[in-house]
Amino acid sequence: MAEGMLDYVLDLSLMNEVFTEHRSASLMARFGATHYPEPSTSTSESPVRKQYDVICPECKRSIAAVRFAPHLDKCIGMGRNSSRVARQKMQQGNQEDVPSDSHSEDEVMVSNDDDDVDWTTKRKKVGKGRNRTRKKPRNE
Amino acid sequence: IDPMADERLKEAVEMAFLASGERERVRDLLESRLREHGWQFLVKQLCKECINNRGIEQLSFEEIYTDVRAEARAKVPDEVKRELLAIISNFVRKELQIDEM
Repeated sequence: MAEGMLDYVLDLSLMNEVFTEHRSASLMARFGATHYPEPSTSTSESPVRKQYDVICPECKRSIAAVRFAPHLDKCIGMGRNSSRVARQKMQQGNQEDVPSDSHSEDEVMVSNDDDDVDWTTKRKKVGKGRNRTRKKPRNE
Repeated sequence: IDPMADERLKEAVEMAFLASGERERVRDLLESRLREHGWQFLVKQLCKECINNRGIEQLSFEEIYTDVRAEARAKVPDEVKRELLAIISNFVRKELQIDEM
Protein backbone atom coordinates (compact mmCIF):
# COMPACT_ATOMS: atom_id res chain seq x y z
CA MET A 1 0.00 0.00 0.00
CA ALA A 2 2.74 2.44 0.97
CA GLU A 3 4.64 1.75 -2.26
CA GLY A 4 1.56 2.52 -4.31
CA MET A 5 1.13 5.79 -2.46
CA LEU A 6 4.78 6.72 -3.04
CA ASP A 7 4.41 5.87 -6.74
CA TYR A 8 1.44 8.19 -6.95
CA VAL A 9 3.28 11.10 -5.32
CA LEU A 10 6.31 10.52 -7.55
CA ASP A 11 4.07 10.60 -10.62
CA LEU A 12 2.54 13.88 -9.44
CA SER A 13 5.98 15.46 -9.15
CA LEU A 14 7.02 14.15 -12.55
CA MET A 15 3.83 15.38 -14.21
CA ASN A 16 4.41 18.81 -12.70
CA GLU A 17 7.90 19.04 -14.23
CA VAL A 18 6.75 17.77 -17.63
CA PHE A 19 3.79 20.15 -17.63
CA THR A 20 6.06 23.12 -16.90
CA GLU A 21 8.42 22.22 -19.74
CA HIS A 22 5.64 21.53 -22.22
CA ARG A 23 3.90 24.80 -21.38
CA SER A 24 7.12 26.79 -21.61
CA ALA A 25 8.01 25.28 -25.00
CA SER A 26 4.45 25.73 -26.34
CA LEU A 27 4.26 29.40 -25.34
CA MET A 28 7.66 30.13 -26.80
CA ALA A 29 6.81 28.37 -30.05
CA ARG A 30 3.46 30.13 -30.26
CA PHE A 31 4.72 33.64 -29.58
CA GLY A 32 7.87 33.54 -31.62
CA ALA A 33 10.78 32.98 -29.27
CA THR A 34 13.88 32.24 -31.23
CA HIS A 35 15.26 29.47 -29.03
CA TYR A 36 14.26 26.95 -26.39
CA PRO A 37 16.10 27.85 -23.20
CA GLU A 38 18.64 25.53 -21.62
CA PRO A 39 17.57 24.37 -18.17
CA SER A 40 19.57 25.91 -15.36
CA THR A 41 22.49 23.82 -14.13
CA SER A 42 22.14 25.25 -10.64
CA THR A 43 20.67 22.96 -8.00
CA SER A 44 20.26 25.75 -5.46
CA GLU A 45 16.86 26.65 -4.11
CA SER A 46 16.66 29.97 -5.96
CA PRO A 47 18.72 29.93 -9.13
CA VAL A 48 19.27 33.16 -11.07
CA ARG A 49 16.63 33.46 -13.78
CA LYS A 50 17.68 34.36 -17.30
CA GLN A 51 15.62 36.93 -19.22
CA TYR A 52 13.85 35.43 -22.22
CA ASP A 53 11.96 37.70 -24.58
CA VAL A 54 8.98 36.95 -26.77
CA ILE A 55 7.44 38.99 -29.59
CA CYS A 56 3.90 40.18 -28.86
CA PRO A 57 1.63 39.27 -31.80
CA GLU A 58 -0.44 42.43 -31.22
CA CYS A 59 2.07 45.25 -30.90
CA LYS A 60 5.14 43.37 -32.22
CA ARG A 61 7.25 44.54 -29.30
CA SER A 62 9.79 42.38 -27.56
CA ILE A 63 8.45 41.57 -24.05
CA ALA A 64 10.12 39.69 -21.18
CA ALA A 65 8.57 36.23 -20.95
CA VAL A 66 7.74 36.59 -17.26
CA ARG A 67 5.81 39.78 -18.04
CA PHE A 68 4.16 38.50 -21.18
CA ALA A 69 0.82 37.39 -19.77
CA PRO A 70 0.04 40.71 -18.00
CA HIS A 71 1.24 42.62 -21.09
CA LEU A 72 -1.08 40.61 -23.34
CA ASP A 73 -4.01 41.32 -21.02
CA LYS A 74 -3.56 45.04 -21.52
CA CYS A 75 -2.50 44.86 -25.14
CA ILE A 76 -5.57 42.98 -26.41
CA GLY A 77 -7.94 44.66 -23.95
CA MET A 78 -8.88 41.64 -21.86
CA GLY A 79 -7.41 42.69 -18.50
CA ARG A 80 -9.27 43.86 -15.44
CA ASN A 81 -8.44 47.52 -15.98
CA SER A 82 -8.59 47.50 -19.76
CA SER A 83 -12.34 48.14 -19.99
CA ARG A 84 -12.12 50.98 -17.46
CA VAL A 85 -9.25 52.62 -19.34
CA ALA A 86 -11.08 52.19 -22.66
CA ARG A 87 -14.24 53.71 -21.23
CA GLN A 88 -12.33 56.72 -19.93
CA LYS A 89 -10.72 57.23 -23.32
CA MET A 90 -14.10 57.03 -25.02
CA GLN A 91 -15.59 59.56 -22.63
CA GLN A 92 -12.68 61.91 -23.20
CA GLY A 93 -13.16 61.50 -26.93
CA ASN A 94 -16.90 62.17 -26.64
CA GLN A 95 -16.35 65.32 -24.64
CA GLU A 96 -14.00 66.69 -27.29
CA ASP A 97 -15.85 65.71 -30.48
CA VAL A 98 -19.53 65.47 -29.72
CA PRO A 99 -21.75 68.50 -30.60
CA SER A 100 -23.79 70.35 -27.99
CA ASP A 101 -27.01 68.36 -28.67
CA SER A 102 -25.87 65.35 -26.80
CA HIS A 103 -24.74 67.30 -23.78
CA SER A 104 -28.29 66.84 -22.61
CA GLU A 105 -27.75 63.08 -22.77
CA ASP A 106 -24.65 63.47 -20.65
CA GLU A 107 -26.58 65.63 -18.25
CA VAL A 108 -29.33 63.06 -18.08
CA MET A 109 -26.73 60.41 -17.47
CA VAL A 110 -25.18 62.58 -14.77
CA SER A 111 -28.51 63.09 -13.16
CA ASN A 112 -29.11 59.36 -13.34
CA ASP A 113 -25.81 58.88 -11.61
CA ASP A 114 -26.98 61.25 -8.89
CA ASP A 115 -30.11 59.22 -8.53
CA ASP A 116 -27.98 56.13 -8.28
CA VAL A 117 -25.92 57.75 -5.55
CA ASP A 118 -29.04 58.57 -3.54
CA TRP A 119 -30.43 55.09 -4.12
CA THR A 120 -27.12 53.57 -3.11
CA THR A 121 -26.96 55.72 0.01
CA LYS A 122 -30.51 54.74 0.97
CA ARG A 123 -29.74 51.10 0.24
CA LYS A 124 -26.69 51.24 2.49
CA LYS A 125 -28.80 52.53 5.38
CA VAL A 126 -31.22 49.69 4.90
CA GLY A 127 -28.34 47.22 4.62
CA LYS A 128 -26.87 48.16 7.97
CA GLY A 129 -30.07 47.38 9.80
CA ARG A 130 -30.89 44.27 7.83
CA ASN A 131 -27.77 42.33 8.83
CA ARG A 132 -28.25 42.69 12.55
CA THR A 133 -29.10 39.44 14.22
CA ARG A 134 -31.27 39.16 17.26
CA LYS A 135 -29.44 37.71 20.19
CA LYS A 136 -32.45 37.44 22.44
CA PRO A 137 -35.56 35.53 21.41
CA ARG A 138 -38.74 37.50 20.91
CA ASN A 139 -41.26 37.25 23.70
CA GLU A 140 -44.42 35.74 22.27
CA ILE B 1 -13.79 -13.12 4.15
CA ASP B 2 -14.90 -10.08 2.23
CA PRO B 3 -12.59 -9.54 -0.78
CA MET B 4 -13.73 -5.93 -1.05
CA ALA B 5 -12.80 -5.14 2.55
CA ASP B 6 -9.11 -4.73 1.67
CA GLU B 7 -9.99 -2.45 -1.20
CA ARG B 8 -12.20 -0.32 1.02
CA LEU B 9 -9.51 -0.14 3.67
CA LYS B 10 -6.96 0.94 1.06
CA GLU B 11 -9.28 3.69 -0.17
CA ALA B 12 -9.89 4.88 3.38
CA VAL B 13 -6.17 5.11 4.09
CA GLU B 14 -5.54 6.97 0.83
CA MET B 15 -8.38 9.35 1.60
CA ALA B 16 -6.89 10.03 5.05
CA PHE B 17 -3.49 10.54 3.41
CA LEU B 18 -4.96 13.30 1.27
CA ALA B 19 -7.41 14.86 3.72
CA SER B 20 -4.96 15.12 6.59
CA GLY B 21 -2.50 17.08 4.43
CA GLU B 22 0.12 14.35 4.81
CA ARG B 23 0.26 13.78 1.08
CA GLU B 24 1.21 17.41 0.45
CA ARG B 25 3.84 17.32 3.17
CA VAL B 26 5.29 14.13 1.71
CA ARG B 27 5.25 15.65 -1.77
CA ASP B 28 7.03 18.81 -0.57
CA LEU B 29 9.70 16.72 1.14
CA LEU B 30 10.05 14.46 -1.90
CA GLU B 31 10.53 17.40 -4.28
CA SER B 32 13.03 18.99 -1.93
CA ARG B 33 15.08 15.79 -1.79
CA LEU B 34 14.85 15.28 -5.54
CA ARG B 35 16.03 18.85 -6.13
CA GLU B 36 19.06 18.22 -3.92
CA HIS B 37 19.97 15.26 -6.13
CA GLY B 38 19.47 17.16 -9.40
CA TRP B 39 16.52 15.06 -10.50
CA GLN B 40 14.43 18.03 -11.72
CA PHE B 41 17.30 19.14 -13.93
CA LEU B 42 17.52 15.65 -15.38
CA VAL B 43 13.79 15.60 -16.13
CA LYS B 44 14.00 19.00 -17.81
CA GLN B 45 16.83 17.66 -20.00
CA LEU B 46 14.77 14.60 -20.94
CA CYS B 47 11.80 16.80 -21.85
CA LYS B 48 13.96 19.15 -23.88
CA GLU B 49 15.50 16.25 -25.78
CA CYS B 50 12.07 14.86 -26.57
CA ILE B 51 10.78 18.27 -27.71
CA ASN B 52 13.85 19.01 -29.84
CA ASN B 53 13.69 15.56 -31.50
CA ARG B 54 10.00 15.59 -32.32
CA GLY B 55 9.02 19.28 -32.34
CA ILE B 56 6.66 20.90 -29.84
CA GLU B 57 3.94 21.35 -32.47
CA GLN B 58 3.60 17.59 -32.74
CA LEU B 59 3.74 16.86 -29.04
CA SER B 60 1.07 16.79 -26.36
CA PHE B 61 1.82 16.82 -22.65
CA GLU B 62 0.77 13.16 -22.43
CA GLU B 63 3.23 12.16 -25.16
CA ILE B 64 6.18 13.86 -23.47
CA TYR B 65 5.17 12.31 -20.13
CA THR B 66 4.95 8.83 -21.64
CA ASP B 67 8.28 9.31 -23.37
CA VAL B 68 10.26 10.41 -20.28
CA ARG B 69 8.49 8.54 -17.49
CA ALA B 70 10.44 5.27 -17.49
CA GLU B 71 13.86 6.90 -17.41
CA ALA B 72 12.82 9.63 -14.98
CA ARG B 73 11.42 7.06 -12.54
CA ALA B 74 14.50 4.88 -12.84
CA LYS B 75 16.71 7.84 -11.94
CA VAL B 76 15.00 8.55 -8.60
CA PRO B 77 17.73 7.92 -5.99
CA ASP B 78 17.17 4.84 -3.83
CA GLU B 79 17.90 6.74 -0.62
CA VAL B 80 15.12 9.21 -1.42
CA LYS B 81 12.71 6.35 -2.09
CA ARG B 82 13.68 4.64 1.18
CA GLU B 83 13.22 7.79 3.23
CA LEU B 84 9.81 8.63 1.78
CA LEU B 85 8.64 5.02 1.92
CA ALA B 86 9.46 4.90 5.64
CA ILE B 87 7.39 8.02 6.26
CA ILE B 88 4.42 6.75 4.27
CA SER B 89 4.59 3.28 5.87
CA ASN B 90 4.53 4.91 9.30
CA PHE B 91 1.44 6.85 8.32
CA VAL B 92 -0.31 3.75 6.99
CA ARG B 93 0.48 1.82 10.18
CA LYS B 94 -1.02 4.56 12.32
CA GLU B 95 -4.13 4.73 10.16
CA LEU B 96 -4.64 0.98 10.30
CA GLN B 97 -4.31 1.01 14.08
CA ILE B 98 -6.98 3.68 14.26
CA ASP B 99 -9.24 1.63 11.98
CA GLU B 100 -8.83 -1.47 14.14
CA MET B 101 -9.93 0.38 17.29
